[in-house]
Amino acid sequence: MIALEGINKIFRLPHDRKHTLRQRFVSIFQKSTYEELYALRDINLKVSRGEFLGIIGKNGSGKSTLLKLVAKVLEPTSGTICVDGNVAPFLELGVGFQGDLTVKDNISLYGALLGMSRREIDQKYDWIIDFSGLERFVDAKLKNLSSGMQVRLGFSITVSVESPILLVDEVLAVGDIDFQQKCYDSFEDFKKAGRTILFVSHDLAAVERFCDRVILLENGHIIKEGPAPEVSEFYRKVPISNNITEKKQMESEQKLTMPFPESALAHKYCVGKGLEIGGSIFNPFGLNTLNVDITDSMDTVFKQEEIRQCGRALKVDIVASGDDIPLPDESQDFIVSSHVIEHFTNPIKALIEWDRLIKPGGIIFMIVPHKERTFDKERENTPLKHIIQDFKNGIPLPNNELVGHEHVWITETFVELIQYMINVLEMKWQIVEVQDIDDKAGNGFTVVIRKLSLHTPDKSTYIQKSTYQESLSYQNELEATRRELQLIYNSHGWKLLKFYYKLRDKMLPNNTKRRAAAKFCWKTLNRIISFFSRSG
Amino acid sequence: MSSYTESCKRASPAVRKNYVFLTLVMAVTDFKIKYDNSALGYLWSLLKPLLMFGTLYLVFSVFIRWDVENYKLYLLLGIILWNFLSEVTLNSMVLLEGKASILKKVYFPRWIIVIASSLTSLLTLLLNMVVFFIFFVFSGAHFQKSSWLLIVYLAELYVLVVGLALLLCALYPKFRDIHHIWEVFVQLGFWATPIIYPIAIVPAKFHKLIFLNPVARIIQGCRQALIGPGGEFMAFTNHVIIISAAACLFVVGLGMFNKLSRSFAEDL
Repeated sequence: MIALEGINKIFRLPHDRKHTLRQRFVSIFQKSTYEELYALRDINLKVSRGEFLGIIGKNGSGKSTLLKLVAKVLEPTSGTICVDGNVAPFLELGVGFQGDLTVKDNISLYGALLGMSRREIDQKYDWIIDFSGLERFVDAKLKNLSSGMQVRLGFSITVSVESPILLVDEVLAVGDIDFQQKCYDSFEDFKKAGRTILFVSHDLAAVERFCDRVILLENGHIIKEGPAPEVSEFYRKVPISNNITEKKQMESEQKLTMPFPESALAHKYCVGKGLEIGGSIFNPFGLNTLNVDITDSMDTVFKQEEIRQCGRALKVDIVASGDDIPLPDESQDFIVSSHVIEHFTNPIKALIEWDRLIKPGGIIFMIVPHKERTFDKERENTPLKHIIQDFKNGIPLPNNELVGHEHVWITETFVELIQYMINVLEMKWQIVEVQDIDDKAGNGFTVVIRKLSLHTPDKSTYIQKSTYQESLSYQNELEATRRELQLIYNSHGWKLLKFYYKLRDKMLPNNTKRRAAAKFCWKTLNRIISFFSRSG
Repeated sequence: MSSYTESCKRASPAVRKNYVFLTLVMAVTDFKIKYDNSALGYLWSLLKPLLMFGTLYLVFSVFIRWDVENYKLYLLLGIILWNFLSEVTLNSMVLLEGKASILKKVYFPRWIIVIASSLTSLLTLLLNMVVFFIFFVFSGAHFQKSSWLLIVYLAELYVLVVGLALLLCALYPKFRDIHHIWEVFVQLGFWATPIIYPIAIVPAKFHKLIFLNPVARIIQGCRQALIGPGGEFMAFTNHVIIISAAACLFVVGLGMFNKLSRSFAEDL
């Protein structure tokens, strides 16, 4: 039996590998940089005795790492692995062979490496020679044998190891048809003998033939687990691949099947590299973007819909909540989202986060469904007040998928929101274009915002009357907070004010809330500072 | 689950026995490969120290004369023991590169490769000792009562050297410089240890410094035990010093090795 609990494996890939003491010494004063590659994330797996488990997934999805962890060649970064019984790895045939030794010596060496005792090797010796068909070459040096013979020898020795657990990593790829047949025959024998086998393969037919259960790995996650036919069918349907030719092929297919055209407006404004929040394959922008989504599971309503319509789903590059994206400030040229912002519980927070991510001069490009043109027809427009209240209360984004429309907008109310953010929250933005009836899905409107590169814009240009009044009430509210703070400041001084904030931060129940509140408070504080410095 | 976790943490006795077998097989394999394809085969392991001995003997016995009884034996013994040290420690680092492909694919306790290679060198040492004893008999020396102490010294030397080898091997994948540093160190050590020169020519105030090195104590002890005329290095206190130094090195070496060898498969 094999049990893996909460396994994470991170490979650290240093940008400049330090091998020498001098490099080490110099680098003491430098910040060492490396990339963290999550080979496996939060793997929980139990394999019971006698089970034939298949592991499938594209290249780099973590299959071999998983086997190496079970074989104890690698240590997990966190989590526990329990393996009951000897493990015979089929990771690579004949990996310890010494060309300068005879076949006989190599059998001893390789057998010992795989954990056989002297007696076992003596017992199995004739069988191994017989099975590999190398009777004539027992005393020949291994290097003088053909590579096919060497593989046969390696296989024969590995098969003869009587360990209860076998790890098989794509050994079948190397052999000819006869050899493959031999492998399959041995697998049948193993299965009958009740040995536990972990079988990694790209050969779905073989997987379906032997495996009781199959897991599908994708980016280090187990994304599907179940009976062989079901999982391999799922894998066939969703050929997600980072392979360039496949990607190109996918793109060309995309053009054939996508229901929505690319947006000319998007191509006009979005230049460079950027992010797409919640992208999908049937609503493509054709821009240079990474796809951000809250989950990379393929089981969500949206992904299933994508698969249903186009046969596959757009790959998720960054798994993150759309209003909390783990990328550095000002790292993107633009952010694109289509039919996404209305799902957010706290759109102001998301917009502030997106603002953080784009460079000065960058673009936030949003297509929002218009109430009158969707199934939201019957619903009330969401008042701006509610959205602001949600922001002030720091309503967090739920962790699971976002299905319903949280807010309902028409063009005017959405523009009002943006203007509120510019005027009151002092976002350094400019609305560069509003396109009512967007040129993409056709059921919404497009709002394009540019992050200004230099100064606060001249507010008056953008303020419309209705918004102004709306925001005025909030100005008053803000004024009230300001007065409250000033009171504290007057009586207890600056230090206490800081302490007060700290306390308030701590008392707020959760993280997202805390951050939103802190940001809001600091903004107010900044205002007070500038207010006092002006008056002083 | 918890009892299950406990039960599968330790290897079964049968498996541990197989590790001993694996160590032996690897040692023998190393030895076979080392001298394979060379006309003189195993003789090289004898010839190497003999040639070095010949050169040094020529220089220090014919050109420069030391006033030491049985200088030939004195010199040969020193060279053989020092060669053992330098071979095991230097090999321990090169080894990992050679075995990288195995380390990345198959699990076995990593110390096996260090022990196996040290056993190969130990075999060479023993063969060299045979040559030494042939010289010993021909030069007319006689075994003394204390000669059996040689075995104790060799055991001490072995533990000390394996401890060093484990330490160096553990550090090597992370700091590759250590190979070069150690090469220089071995050279320095060769001259800082009374191998070719008698300890008598060194001013007395440096004696303490020289015998900070436990290997110098072992070599000196071996000589006094075998060739005579007896002396302080056969004393019990000498053994205590050597054994504590060897034990320290071994514990530190093994500890470091256990800690660092986990990531060998990634670092190599």
